[in-house]
Amino acid sequence: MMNVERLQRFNWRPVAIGFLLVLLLLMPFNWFMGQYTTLLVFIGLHTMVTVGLCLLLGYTGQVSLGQAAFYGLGAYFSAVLSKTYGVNPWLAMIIGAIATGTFAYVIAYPIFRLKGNYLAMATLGLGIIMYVLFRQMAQYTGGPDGMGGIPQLAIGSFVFDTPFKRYYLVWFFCLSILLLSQNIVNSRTGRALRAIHGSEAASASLGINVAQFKMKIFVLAAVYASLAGSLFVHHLSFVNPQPFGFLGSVMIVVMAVVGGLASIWGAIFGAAMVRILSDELLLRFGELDIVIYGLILMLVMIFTPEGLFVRLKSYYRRWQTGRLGEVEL
Amino acid sequence: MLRVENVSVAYGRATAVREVSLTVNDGEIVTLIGSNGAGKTSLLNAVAGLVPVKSGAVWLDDILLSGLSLHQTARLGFGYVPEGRQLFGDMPVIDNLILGAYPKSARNRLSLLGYVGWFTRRADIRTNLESVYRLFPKLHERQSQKAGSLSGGEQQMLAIGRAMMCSPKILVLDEPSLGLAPNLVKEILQLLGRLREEGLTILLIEQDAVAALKIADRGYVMERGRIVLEGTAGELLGNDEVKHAYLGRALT
Repeated sequence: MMNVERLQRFNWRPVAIGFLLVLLLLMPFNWFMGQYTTLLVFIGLHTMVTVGLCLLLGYTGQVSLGQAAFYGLGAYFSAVLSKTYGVNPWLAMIIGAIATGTFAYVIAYPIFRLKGNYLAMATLGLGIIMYVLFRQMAQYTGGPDGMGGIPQLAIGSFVFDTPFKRYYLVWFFCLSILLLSQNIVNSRTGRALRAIHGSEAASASLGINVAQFKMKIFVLAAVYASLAGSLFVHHLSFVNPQPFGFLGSVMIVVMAVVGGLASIWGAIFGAAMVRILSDELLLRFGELDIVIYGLILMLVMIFTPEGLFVRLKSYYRRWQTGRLGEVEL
Repeated sequence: MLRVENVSVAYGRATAVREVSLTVNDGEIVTLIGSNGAGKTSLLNAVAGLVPVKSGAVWLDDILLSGLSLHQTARLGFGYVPEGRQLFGDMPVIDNLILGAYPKSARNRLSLLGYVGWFTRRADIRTNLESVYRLFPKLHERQSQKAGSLSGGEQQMLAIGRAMMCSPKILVLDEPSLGLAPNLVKEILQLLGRLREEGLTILLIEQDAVAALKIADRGYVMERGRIVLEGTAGELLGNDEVKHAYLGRALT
């Protein structure tokens, strides 16, 4: 009785996801897109960071312009622990995720007293501070030159020593995170998050602990970014501060916006678009690339504020219902 | 049911409410009337936990509410319908209502039978949803529409329905008549009368004094942060000062 009556039509969702999975499975093979494996790994890593920001910005409505800082924290925890201190890379990854999560939790206390533009400024500041620390704490991090020779991840005697193997590792993590996020969004928690986005006072009057939810999602997003950072350094066996600076954070925001802020699966699309653009097309612009990111951000916000991916989906849907209408006539 | 004892509220050095006491007994509709800036909303926000109480105490049955924040008082059965409705405009009506059932589940989880609570939660929500739809059949018709697309009166119904979803001990409404046409105001207030008959306790804050007093059992009149008059609804309606100040009739 209480179900929403919907137009009966074929459910494309499982088909689309199945197609995506098969595509992801086959892409790194040489006869398909093998030469792009490294790019595909990076798309996976950025998707992980972007999903965190989507939860934070798109669902909870809290801005963060410093996600790259958490990405970097995960990366440096893994790098320093596994190389300098010889900790098992998996253990280093877990320690990194826990430490980054704890750091985000502590930082969240003062930072979430701020709202809107002020929150954006504070997270921006956080990102810049972390970047400076990565550069300046040279005795641990190797400074601006970075550090190399970071050990590979391995399961028993199976070492993830080629991009082909690491591709599957990264996308396993990425898809797990997407699935987890999808479940969070569709649960009672997700509804509470959207309520907070709508009105904080009203959410609280319904018994939702607004401050706690914001902190939890902030921590979750930080942990996602940290895991991505760990996978990043074990993929390259090298780390320097460059990807974790302001430009890195801006790129993550652009990815989230292009994919659609309130769209979990859009994150893949956003990460892929921006990453392909930056790797294949923007190289010739050199330092001007940040101008291009700004331009993309502006154009997307003006013309498709809900995100390019979400807009394309709705065009498809309109086309579908249009066709259905014709059949009925 | 609800006891407010000598509550003062201040924003920095500006005192908005001075030593106000009021009680709401089980099954009563009590109304708090007063002009703009009298401190009604400040008092209510303090009682609900949205702004801190400077001094005094608020009791809900035998639980001390003052010092708790809004989400905690909500979980204890304080059903607050804030000023201006505060709906989640982008969400469908039904999601707004289900969100209203949030605190009840929180209470279940605290109990020893938490796991049973987890299983019965959906059933609880369904029962409450059905009773809200019985009260407001319009909401049932529009359940998949976005809340923002409803008319003013329907939005107010949704706001009340949402607060009812957690089976509150007391329903506290801040100016439900705000921005509504007079006939809709009447409809909403009559509905509150019906809710009272079902045993609900209601504290109603209103500027429309006549309309509020007509359905209320007792009333308090607030002026410049203080309670200046109290009595049964009939007494207040007959009181010359009230007539003069709030009902817009000349003294006879």
